[in-house]
Amino acid sequence: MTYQEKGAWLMLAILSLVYGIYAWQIYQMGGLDQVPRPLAWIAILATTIVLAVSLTLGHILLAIFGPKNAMEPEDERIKLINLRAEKIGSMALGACMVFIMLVSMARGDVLMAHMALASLIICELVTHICVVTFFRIQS
Amino acid sequence: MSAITNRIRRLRFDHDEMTQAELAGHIGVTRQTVAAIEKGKYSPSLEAAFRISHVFGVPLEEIFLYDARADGMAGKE
Repeated sequence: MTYQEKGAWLMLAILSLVYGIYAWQIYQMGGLDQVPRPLAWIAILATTIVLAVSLTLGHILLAIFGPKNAMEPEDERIKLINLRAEKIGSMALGACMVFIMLVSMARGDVLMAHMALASLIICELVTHICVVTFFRIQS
Repeated sequence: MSAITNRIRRLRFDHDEMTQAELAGHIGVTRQTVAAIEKGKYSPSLEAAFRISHVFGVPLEEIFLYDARADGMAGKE
């Protein structure tokens, strides 16, 4: 198993565990709308910090226990796998943004709906600027 | 069935039973990528194919075999 694959398994495990605990805590407190605002900020901040620290530590441990694997550079197949995975991931992110936009509109939160739409448009602009640029570079 | 098959495993055997890791080191990929190429699960880039050809000292067409019918491209010229 390559270092990148081990890293992906680690990401899956840590994200599921940490976010699972966060989601369970929010559920225990009565759901998204019922958590007092200061507590919600603390929960979000703490979850982000725990995620960052545990992912960093996990990757360091992976490198310590498999130094040979960790030293291997990403080859063409790994890059291709990452590209495909990131494409699917960005489609999922886009779908989530549309969901946020729809929920915001339904709840009358116009600012959030505007921001969600702007985020989608900016992502598409960046994607198509890159496509045009890469075509120009290779023509 | 893949349209591109290869004789890398045979060529490794003929070259003092070169390991996948050794070949991987020569062509700058991971051992897992060499294994995927051998199984026909991954088609290498032209650069990697030429590097393999250079390592074994044989032309590309003696390593990689293309089957147009398996590719569904037969008669589409």
